[in-house]
Amino acid sequence: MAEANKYDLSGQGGIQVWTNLPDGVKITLLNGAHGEVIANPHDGGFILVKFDEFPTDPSRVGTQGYVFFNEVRSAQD
Amino acid sequence: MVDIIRARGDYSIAEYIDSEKGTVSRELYVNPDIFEQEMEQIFQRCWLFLGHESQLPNPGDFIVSRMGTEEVIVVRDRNDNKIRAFLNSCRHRGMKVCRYDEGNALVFTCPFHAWTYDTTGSLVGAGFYNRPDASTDTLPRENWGLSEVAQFKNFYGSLWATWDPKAPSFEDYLGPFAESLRHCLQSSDGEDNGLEFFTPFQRHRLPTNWKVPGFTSVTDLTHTAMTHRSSQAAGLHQDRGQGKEKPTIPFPQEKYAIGDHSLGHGGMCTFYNQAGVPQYTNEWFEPGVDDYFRDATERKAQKYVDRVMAPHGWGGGHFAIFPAVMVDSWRLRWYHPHETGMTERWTLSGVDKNAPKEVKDAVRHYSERFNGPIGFFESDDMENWNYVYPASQGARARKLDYFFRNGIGHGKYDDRLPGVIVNGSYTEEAQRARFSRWLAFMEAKSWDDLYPINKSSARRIW
Amino acid sequence: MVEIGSDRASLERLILQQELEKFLYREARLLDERRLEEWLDLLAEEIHYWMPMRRNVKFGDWDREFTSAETEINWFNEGKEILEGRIRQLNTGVHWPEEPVSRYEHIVTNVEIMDVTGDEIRVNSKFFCYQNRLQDEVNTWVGRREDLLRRDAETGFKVVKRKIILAQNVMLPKVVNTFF
Ligand code: FES
Ligand SMILES: [Fe+2]
Repeated sequence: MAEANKYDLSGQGGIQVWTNLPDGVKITLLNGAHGEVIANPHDGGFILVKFDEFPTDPSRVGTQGYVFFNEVRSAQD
Repeated sequence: MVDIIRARGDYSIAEYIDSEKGTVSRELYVNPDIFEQEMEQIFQRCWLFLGHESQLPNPGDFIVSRMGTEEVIVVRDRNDNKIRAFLNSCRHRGMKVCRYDEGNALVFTCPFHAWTYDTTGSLVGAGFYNRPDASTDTLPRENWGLSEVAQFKNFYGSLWATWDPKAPSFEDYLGPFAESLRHCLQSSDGEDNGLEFFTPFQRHRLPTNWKVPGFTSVTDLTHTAMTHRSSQAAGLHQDRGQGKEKPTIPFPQEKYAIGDHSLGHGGMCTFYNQAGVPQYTNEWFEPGVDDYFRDATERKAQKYVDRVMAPHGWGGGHFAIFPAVMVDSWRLRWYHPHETGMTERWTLSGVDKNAPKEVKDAVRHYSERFNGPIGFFESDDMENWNYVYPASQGARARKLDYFFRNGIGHGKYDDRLPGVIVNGSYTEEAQRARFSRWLAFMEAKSWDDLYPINKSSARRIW
Repeated sequence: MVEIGSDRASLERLILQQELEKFLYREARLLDERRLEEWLDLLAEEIHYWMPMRRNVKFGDWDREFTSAETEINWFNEGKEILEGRIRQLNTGVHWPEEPVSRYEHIVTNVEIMDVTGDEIRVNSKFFCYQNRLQDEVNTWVGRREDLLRRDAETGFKVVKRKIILAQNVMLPKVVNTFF
């Protein structure tokens, strides 16, 4: 539980957490999709994610895509 | 397009150049309408120099370069490793997407509304495009990538681009000078693409019209003794070249001012009259450096046993690629117009990729002290290039003409560079050739009027 | 209240600060008074005189910001011999960007002793250099310096290393014909 808080994306502090999110972190989107950070340009905008679950569009499982900060529910190791 | 020139009534642009007298109206250098027309009809059409591949060795590496008054992002793609060039202007509302000079990028993110482009220029995301109330089904992302140059060329490691899809291939654009440029990008042992270039660009502002350094001084042997009086008097010439020993074995070669009136290129070139390379003579006088170059020259000589070197600017000379790139055998210097009276001057210096550290250091330090705003030699030029502008700009001064008559009528064609006029090295043949091509560009409606060169109709204006 | 006289180390520090400021101000004055050879005399024979270029880089990418003195192109990156050559050139009277000569004013400030090791002192300072030339040609260079000075019997100190950190990217003036 303490681990998950490491990547608290809420509030003011969450902006820096998102900007610096390391490769390998798992993220869950608001639409239920789940994936792993492949590359972060560290500019606070989009992050490249590889999806391993994508309930609303199963064809995207295994693909990579850019995710904007407002699409994300949570991030954890 | 041709009639945007208002300042002198209804003169057609050809009347600014007097081929009988060998003169050019100063109006061409000081008139903002002409400047705007140049940006449209020359800098939007010509092949322009962007940099060198050694500046971006790794996937995702980018540099920001310029094409005329505009910035371009030159980036090596993370997936296919190809280098591409894009206008540095967000397709959404025109923000300068990349504000860094160089770096390594996953994506270029616009700081305005987060339109985000990958290293192929494709739009991969836009801020809040995913929100249902943003109606972003109205954004066809595939049509809104960064604006890519129409044609891009990696020529033996040097990077060039044009905005005009109708421009001829880079080799055709260069004509006979393609081999000269190729030669200048060889290492001193004669390997193609044998140079690497020191980072970063040396960049400084010069308050003058771009044609002052770009045309007037394209090869200007008559300026050297006076302009560079102080460098010579201070003995600053003693390194690299100027303190060069005399060869004991003479090599048959000739130096000329040359100009290609059809393509606009030209400069100071040495022609070599037999296969092989001239004997190396000491010019560095630093430990190990002359030894390295002597050795490399011998290796090059073996490659050239039965090859004649392409004419080029070895040994103090340079040739220039239209509109504004000077090429030596060790550096490229080029000019970016900013406005009628403001130019930015860039330099890149190269050295053999495989040279040992002491040789790279010698060449690098030489470039630091020779080139650019702090270069003792080049700083001599800047005063003259600068004050030409205010002293030519006034209502009276601009009604006068510049003199470009040296050697007019004495040039001749030479088989060694087909189509190129060869003239005495103190003549202004290269400057005249640039104005011949300049006029063609300013009158042409499109590349259809500019290439292929129809020899019978090609007007050699002087 | 601190009894200055009772603390020998702080007193020495205060005197050193005074000596350093005097030296740096004198240096600036010699440049402004066009006494360039006398200025040269304040530089150690083995001086490394270095002004890197500065790039616009992404936050955190700081090792890309300054050009390397070892592998890249710098504005100044040289020893005394080259500086002597530059001054010979300035003194020819025919170095056109300095003929007629400029009016320079070097203002030196924020002098801070960073470290003292025996005879060698690391001292940082800031400069503001104003150039006024012909009728209306004006340029300014602003930046800071990281110096290594060595005590010297004759001139007080000699500059052994100088890193000049200029607040500029593209060099906006057409030439640089002064020193910092
Ligand atoms: S201007 Fe770039 S995202 Fe709006
Ligand atoms: Fe010159």
